[in-house]
Amino acid sequence: MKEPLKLPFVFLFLLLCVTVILAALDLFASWGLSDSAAVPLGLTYVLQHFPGAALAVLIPAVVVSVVLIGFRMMHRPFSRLLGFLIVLVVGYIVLVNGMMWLSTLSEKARQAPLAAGQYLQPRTFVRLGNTVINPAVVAGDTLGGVLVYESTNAPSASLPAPGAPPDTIAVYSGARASSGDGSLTVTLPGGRQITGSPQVSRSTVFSPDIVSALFLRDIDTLNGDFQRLRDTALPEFFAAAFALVFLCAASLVFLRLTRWPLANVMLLLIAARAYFLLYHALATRLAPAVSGAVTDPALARLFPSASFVVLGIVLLLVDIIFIPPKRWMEAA
Amino acid sequence: MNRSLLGRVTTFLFSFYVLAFGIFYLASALRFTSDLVLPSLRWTYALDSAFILFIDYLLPVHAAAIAVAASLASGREPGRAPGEARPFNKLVGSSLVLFLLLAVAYTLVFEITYPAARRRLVDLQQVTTLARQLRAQSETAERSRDYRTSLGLVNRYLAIDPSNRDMRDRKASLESLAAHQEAPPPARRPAGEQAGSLLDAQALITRARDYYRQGDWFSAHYYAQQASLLDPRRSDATLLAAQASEEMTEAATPGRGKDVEGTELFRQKRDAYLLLSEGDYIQAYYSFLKLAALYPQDRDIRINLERAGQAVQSVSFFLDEAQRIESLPGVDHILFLNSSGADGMEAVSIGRMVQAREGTYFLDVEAVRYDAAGRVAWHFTAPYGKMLGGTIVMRCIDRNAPGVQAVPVYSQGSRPPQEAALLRVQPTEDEMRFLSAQQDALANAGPVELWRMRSSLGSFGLSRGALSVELIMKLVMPFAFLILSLFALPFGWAFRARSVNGPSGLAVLLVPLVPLVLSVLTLLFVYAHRVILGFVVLAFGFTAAVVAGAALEFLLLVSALIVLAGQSAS
Repeated sequence: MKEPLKLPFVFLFLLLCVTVILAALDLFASWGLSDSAAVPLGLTYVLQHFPGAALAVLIPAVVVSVVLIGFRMMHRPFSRLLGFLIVLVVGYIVLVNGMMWLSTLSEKARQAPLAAGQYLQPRTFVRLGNTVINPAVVAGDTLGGVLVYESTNAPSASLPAPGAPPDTIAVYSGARASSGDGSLTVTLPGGRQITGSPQVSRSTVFSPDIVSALFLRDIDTLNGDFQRLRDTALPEFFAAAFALVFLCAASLVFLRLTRWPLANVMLLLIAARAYFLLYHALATRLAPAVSGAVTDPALARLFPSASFVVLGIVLLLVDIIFIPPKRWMEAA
Repeated sequence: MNRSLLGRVTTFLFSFYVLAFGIFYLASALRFTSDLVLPSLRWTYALDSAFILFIDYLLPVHAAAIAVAASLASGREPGRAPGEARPFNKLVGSSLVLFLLLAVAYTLVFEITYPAARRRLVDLQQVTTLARQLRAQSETAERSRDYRTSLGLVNRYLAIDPSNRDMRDRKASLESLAAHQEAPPPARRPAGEQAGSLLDAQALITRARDYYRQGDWFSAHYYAQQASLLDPRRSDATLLAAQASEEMTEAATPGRGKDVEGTELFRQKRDAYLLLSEGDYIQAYYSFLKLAALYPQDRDIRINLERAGQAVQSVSFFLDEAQRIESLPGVDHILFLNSSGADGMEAVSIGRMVQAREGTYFLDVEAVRYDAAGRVAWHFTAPYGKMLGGTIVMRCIDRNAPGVQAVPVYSQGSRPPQEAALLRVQPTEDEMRFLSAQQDALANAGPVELWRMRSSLGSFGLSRGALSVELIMKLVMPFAFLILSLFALPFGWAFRARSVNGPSGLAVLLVPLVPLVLSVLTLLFVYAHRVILGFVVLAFGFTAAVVAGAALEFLLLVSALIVLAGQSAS
């Protein structure tokens, strides 16, 4: 019976390892994307920005740790109710406290708005929508000798009579660059503006594939909502954090669903991924519709979390009613 | 349940590969839309597209096959009692050899076949775009009752899509309409063209002899060679050219009592002149230009630079060559910085580059030279170009109609007449393929190509950081393939069905979930590599990133082997 006593500490250890690894990756990417042109990476930078990075990855770290502790419980089974409660309590305490403390620590390292220099480098092409630009000189937000290339859809399949093709290149004496919300605007002499999300070296370096990009998008939605709730409505934040950890802990039922452990693991992993997607869909599509139907705004804000609790209860009922209590013992 | 692990892994790998390719092929064929590619190219497109998807998702498919195979293995071997199981490392030994062999095969496919398939896919789309342009232009020409032009365009369309019944019918009707149409008016002649002064062979030989007597070997050789070309029967011209050539060689050979610096200069002049006499006018022109900058007072250099300049202006190619290659696939929207220095920089844009048997051709060439303040020295556009010895020649003449030509049109500034239709370019044709402004140009490059061109491509305006990461990621992929194989085996083994009856039929239906879940995990695994290596490239540079990449793969490989060794056979 030592296992239930050891489990909270193993869970905390796993959580710590996963958080550190994910936070390090987040720190690498955010330094590369936002600060690498202006700030060298040193110990001061790491100390200042690590809490923010840990905050950004805390929710996925908790979910991953629940999955990993589930694998351990699968190989060293004990009372499933006790296991569920340990995961729920430890996960909830870590998530709530982590988000509050890390938020306080990370406030000191607020990101300064990006200068044009982060996006533009002399003698390197930068794509802005359908336009490619290349400044000869970059001094802060002022650009000199700006080449602008706008390709036509396809080269002209010229008729037999030769003629000069249309220009695709123009050169301007200077321009001004401004950035905000991830987009860059270059204002050329005469007032013409070129705006777009810059496809620069750094974003190319860290550009994820489509599957990972969707995952990161869903994590961002969940993170953004939780941080907003924490800052504006603390009771709702507690409820939302509980809903998430409750659903994850209840999902450990997947590890007992069939007699084939690999299939169970796959079901748990796909469920963990699906929760992020579900939250994104609920928060961005269904929640606005719900807020139009109900009068209490708190209900609309908590709609995704309430859905998580309902789903968690369904999973718990499935576990109690359909899964034999000794399924884990058989598999172990 | 008692088949060997290797046999099981091999069977599952083969089945998963075939199934995955079949699904991707079906998806590509069903997803096919004629907006993208001509209907006649449907199956070629589907095959290439399926192959690309297969390689893109090979890691999760491969890992899933191994995990499922290991998960369905019992751990007991034929002829052995349950308690006599061999150690796990003995069970998996031959599977590890298989993984190594597959990793080598993956490397070869990833390096050679995969980039080629990606390029073929781009080619198919470009050919389709061109075919549609030709069709639209032929319809416009037909509406304006220019049946001959329309017929020419239809013929060019049919060279791409010969099975198109509509266009074949249109061709037949246009042939009868064009037959009744008057012949086109004679080709226009360019204004201001002057007839060159012609000399007969005898006059040229007399001039060559005069120069020979004066010790001007270059001019003697030049005129003797001209006379010989004009009248090949004149053996005296050939003899005089040979004598002048001997004198040049003698003067260029160092020897006792000779001025070392003067001999060296003469050797350089002789080398440049040989280029001119052998017909390499462009190289000769640039060689003499370089010498003229060093020795502006030298008479030989001045005169031969003038001759090379005149010869260069005669360098051209035929219009029909350029038009013929329009229907061939190539690389679109090339953009690069040709040279950049304190005195200014050149940017070059090329609508399309086509590499054909006859040479490399360009459509819609545009170049601009400007300084850091944005002052433009010159800016031109030219409809066609052809690569000759590192220079794009843009004078394009009609084979049959003298005077019809396409030359660069300068919208700003000008260049010396002998250079006006030439553009010396820094990148080679191979490098230009990766300078397309289209976003995925680098994805079409193999690791060896990227390695070879990494430093040069960076100087043409591509981001060095992005290039470095792309290259390192391509180098890392075979290791990722091997490491994932090694992790998948203990993963499947650790979660194998241990009950006496094995997994239920319902559970086996969940097998398709395995590649689905592993695709998310493996892509995140690869993305984590990209973040770590991208960070090291930006923070410490390319060499450090290579070292970090090697260290990371070593660490992961050791971890995978430790996890593998930690499995129990029972």
